[in-house]
Amino acid sequence: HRRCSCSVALLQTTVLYINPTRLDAAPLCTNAEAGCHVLSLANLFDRVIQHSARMHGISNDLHSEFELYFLPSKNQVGRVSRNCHTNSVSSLMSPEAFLAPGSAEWRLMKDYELLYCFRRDSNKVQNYLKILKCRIVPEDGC
Amino acid sequence: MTKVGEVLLLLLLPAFVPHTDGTRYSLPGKPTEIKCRSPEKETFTCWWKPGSDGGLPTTYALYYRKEGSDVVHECPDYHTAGKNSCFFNKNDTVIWVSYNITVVATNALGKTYSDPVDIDVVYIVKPHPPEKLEVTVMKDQGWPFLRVSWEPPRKADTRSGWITLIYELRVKLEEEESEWENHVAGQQKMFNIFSLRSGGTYLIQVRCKPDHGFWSEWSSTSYVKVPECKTSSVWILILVFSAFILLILIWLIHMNSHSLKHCMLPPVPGPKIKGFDKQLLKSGKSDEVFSALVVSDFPPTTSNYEDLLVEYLEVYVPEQQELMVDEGKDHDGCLKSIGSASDSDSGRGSCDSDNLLMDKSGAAKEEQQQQNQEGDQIGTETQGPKEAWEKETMLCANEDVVSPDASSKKVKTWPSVFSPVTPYSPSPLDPHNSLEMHKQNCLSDTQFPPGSPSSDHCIKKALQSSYWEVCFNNNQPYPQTDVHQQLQAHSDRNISAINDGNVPSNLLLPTRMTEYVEVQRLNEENKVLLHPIPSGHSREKACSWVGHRDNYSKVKGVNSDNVLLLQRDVVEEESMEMAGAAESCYTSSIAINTPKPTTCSHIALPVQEERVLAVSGYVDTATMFSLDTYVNEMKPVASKANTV
Repeated sequence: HRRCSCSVALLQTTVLYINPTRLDAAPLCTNAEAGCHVLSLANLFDRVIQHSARMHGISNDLHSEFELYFLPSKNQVGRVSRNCHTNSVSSLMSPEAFLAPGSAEWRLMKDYELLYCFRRDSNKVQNYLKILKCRIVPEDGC
Repeated sequence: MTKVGEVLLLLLLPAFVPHTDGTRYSLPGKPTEIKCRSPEKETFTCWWKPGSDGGLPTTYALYYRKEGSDVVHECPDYHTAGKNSCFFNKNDTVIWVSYNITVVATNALGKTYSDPVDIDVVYIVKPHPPEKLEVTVMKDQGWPFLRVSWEPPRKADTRSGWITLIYELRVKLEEEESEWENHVAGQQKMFNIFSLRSGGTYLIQVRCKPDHGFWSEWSSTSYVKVPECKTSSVWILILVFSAFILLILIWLIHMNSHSLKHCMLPPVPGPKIKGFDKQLLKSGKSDEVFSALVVSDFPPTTSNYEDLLVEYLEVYVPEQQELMVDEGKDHDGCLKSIGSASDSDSGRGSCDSDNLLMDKSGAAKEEQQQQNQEGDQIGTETQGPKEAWEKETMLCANEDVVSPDASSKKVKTWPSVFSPVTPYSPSPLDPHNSLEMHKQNCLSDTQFPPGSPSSDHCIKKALQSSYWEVCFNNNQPYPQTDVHQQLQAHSDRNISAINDGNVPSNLLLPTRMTEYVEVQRLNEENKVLLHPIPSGHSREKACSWVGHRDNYSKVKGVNSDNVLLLQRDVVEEESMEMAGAAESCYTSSIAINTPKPTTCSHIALPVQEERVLAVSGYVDTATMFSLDTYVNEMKPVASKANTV
């Protein structure tokens, strides 16, 4: 259930990035009418990349602060084996299986894992957008 | 058997007796500080720090586990990156996957595991420094600036957008105490530096960082020299020159500081009040201040008044004019000061010229018309005496007689008074009087021995009508008793005022009269009334005037300085003191001696119990004019001249 919601949220975010109509910039010109600001593709990509960079920054802060305040003791059990739901790799055993499901600690680890995955995925998105931009609209920045 | 056992023992001995050597073998120390770095986000390298080896040869091994997998792998390459390192090439590197890395130290005694470390390659990127740093000097409208350009590190794939790098450069002057100046250049590979120092050499370095990662090392230093600015030397010359001129100006001002100060800030005249101490006043002790004003020797007790000014006063009475002795009331005859007549604070009235003039003119008219006044009016039938009186009264006050206090304000300058006298219309007096008057000259020429110090020459009052010529004569032995009163102008101004065109020069010498005039008092018109004295008293006679009724004009005597001393007090009749030989009484000199403070001041220098004269020898004008007293004295106008 949670994984489903997360994936939906991530998909929506990605769509938000890609879809130019969502951007709060100049109105989109459907028919290239007069008085309509037409954004260049490179400009669009730049805007999207800026959004993704901001998203990644937020997720990074979330993760580090969570780690600082909620996990003072380095719990190695739930660290390495990250099974982000976005990963194609399916884990046979997750560290959370060792914890008692439903307990507070178990929930804490689940949240930590979520933030970890969110941070990583936002990084992925940003990276992919940059690659895409340089491939579609090669500029000096590439 | 025993031999085999011995061999066995020998073989096993080292194993069993390790501690006997003195060295202690132990497990190897735990490897620490595992650090992994990736230069381009495609490969990465891990380094560890080995612990103690425990005295035995120790080997290290790195094992890792990927996220979501339990397979343990060992480091593929221990040598590429140097000692105690592990290099992961492209095939072994997976992005966005956590690696769990552990380093194991192994020696003969055992193994020691390090703490595991989780890494994600994305977050451990530390690129190489930028390359191909180029700095050029360019000009922007004559001002130089530096253009710095560089290239990203060779291995970083920024073209595909795999890595985005941001750059930073720093600049420093080639000096010992200069600091680095950092500039963030963003993603651009070029940067301009302005505000350079001409002729200076600069050091420039640049470094880069991925958006999520570590800063690279600084690139190699690039040196650049900024060319000199040609116009600077010209400015230096101008600066030196202007500084030189400024120094000269300052020196000139310093030399003339005094005169400049005088010009810009003229000195403010301070109060010159004898006996007035500013410091005392500042201290707030008013009593002391005022007591200081009181002259110690006032009333003067010494009789050494030779130095003082007026010695005598001559009153000239024309023949046909008789002075009326007016025994009127005391108040009327005195010249009053404006508004201060009734004030008896200091007894000083002021000879207000205007008032006097007005009074005189009025008196003149009145006199003609009213001759039967209470007796206060002038008995003289002619205007001459009146005018003379006026003149005398006018002479009473001179501008120089200034009382120390504020009442002196009322004393007006007299020179102006003198001049209006001349325009007085010639009285109906006979020209004879005027002729006589003209004949009257100051005796300065004839009377006074030649060579006598006549700094004060008589000034004949040029009145067209008969009048009193009052001349003050100083330091001149006055052999003759003369009715003339010679006023000596104490200042040139007075002289000039008097000696206008109306007065011929030869008229300066007053003629003598043989009549004595006893000055009784001033009438209400502020005229000094002179009472003619029978001539029997003239000349070389002790002028012992018995005081008449009010006896203001009693001449007390003449002191050695030929000063007529008049007495006011009836009671205080004193015989005149003959001063010198053949000094006749000069009735003109009027010295009224009154104990009252309001007494009119007497001309003569204060002689015992006479006061009113100021220390400087001036007659206190103020005291002259008071209602209570009669001004029968003439101001020693020339007194000031004497002291001058």
